[in-house]
Amino acid sequence: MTPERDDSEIVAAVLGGDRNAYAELVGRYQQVAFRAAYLILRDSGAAEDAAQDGFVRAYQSLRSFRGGEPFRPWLLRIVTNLALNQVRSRSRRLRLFERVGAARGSLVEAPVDDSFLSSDQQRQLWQAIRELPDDDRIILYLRFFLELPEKEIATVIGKAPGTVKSRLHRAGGRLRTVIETRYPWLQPVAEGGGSRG
Amino acid sequence: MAEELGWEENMLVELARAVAYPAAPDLRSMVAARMVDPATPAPQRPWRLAAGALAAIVLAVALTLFVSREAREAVADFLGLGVQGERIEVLPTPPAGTTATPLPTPVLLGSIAQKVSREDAIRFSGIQPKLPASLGAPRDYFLVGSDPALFVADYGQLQIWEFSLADEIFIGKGLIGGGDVVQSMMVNGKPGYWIKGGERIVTVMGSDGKERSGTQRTVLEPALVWAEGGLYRRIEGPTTLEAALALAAEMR
Repeated sequence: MTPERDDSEIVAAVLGGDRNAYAELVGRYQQVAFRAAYLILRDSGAAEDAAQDGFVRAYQSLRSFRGGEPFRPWLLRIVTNLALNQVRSRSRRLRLFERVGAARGSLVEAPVDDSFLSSDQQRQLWQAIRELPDDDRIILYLRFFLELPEKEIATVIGKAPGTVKSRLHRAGGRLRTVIETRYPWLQPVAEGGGSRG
Repeated sequence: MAEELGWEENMLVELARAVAYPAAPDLRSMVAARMVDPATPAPQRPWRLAAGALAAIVLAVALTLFVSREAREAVADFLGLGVQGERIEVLPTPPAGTTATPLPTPVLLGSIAQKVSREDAIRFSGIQPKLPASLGAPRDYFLVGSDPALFVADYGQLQIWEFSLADEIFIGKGLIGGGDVVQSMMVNGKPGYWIKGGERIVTVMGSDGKERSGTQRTVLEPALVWAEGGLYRRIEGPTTLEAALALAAEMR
């Protein structure tokens, strides 16, 4: 049985002219790429487009990929940026219609899809996360939802590895503040009846 | 995550476990298809293809016109060059003995665009325009579309259109007809087109291949189009190529 090639070997093969080898990378990381985009976009069709575009852009930029580095965070950086750009485009559109009044055409902003969560409490927590700034949300998605190690998170967010812990801490603190101020009923009840933490 | 977690982190762990993601699609064949040509646009879903094809057919049928051999050849000449954000197609030649359907009556910019303040034009288009100082201040600002909007500075006899290529939302689609001449050239060191001669249809297309509703115009004036600094740029209305290039140089 042929041992599985590591990412760098596959990238080297692709750059050496074996374009079919790229499918191995796509197969390996398409789920995490799709999920990363889905967390940001909450729309499976848009997430598919973003993941697909991410792989194509990664392929086009493959010569800038540094051998020996993991492919996954490099890819996820591209995919998350594409997904965020889509969100910002939607956001601009919504602001435009709110501000200008949109005399022509009809705009129906897609409702937030939270059907992937089964309880009201989960949906409210999800909403609390959505109220965080982009940087905070992304780092929480990467750490808790995609379970990336800190070194890979650093690559995705383009920061030094040493800063990931503090950024996670800051994002967690902001989430706590949002919950305490806007969704206080979500806080766990400590023994004795008060909230803890 | 085995270290001491705050309650909010524990909630995140639980929430992450509860997420029911849709099944991830198998992207290998789609990605492979686009690897053939890095410039190939995203393959579209069947319903989008159908909608795009329908829109194209409607346009083609509605705009049946004569077109000169010169124009066709001119388009063929620069197919290999291309301006990002711009697509030019030649209107079909009607069969011998038939009369071409005239183009729609030209419409005013104000009828397809939203007149806004300079501040709003910048805010909602996401464009920080660098406009030619020699023209003075634009008479009006407009936004076309909304996904996001295109930026238009209107100087009366001349307009400047811009949108960000990063959004990959819009494609300017020009359908040139009889008498049009399309000249390919470098504008500020980037590939561009100088289009003049006759009436043509200019419409805004989404990356989904569909025309953005209410954006179709019939244009008579010459136009210089090019892509630069992540922006699609279009100067519509300059009387000569030299004047257009001078304005473009001010926008560098």
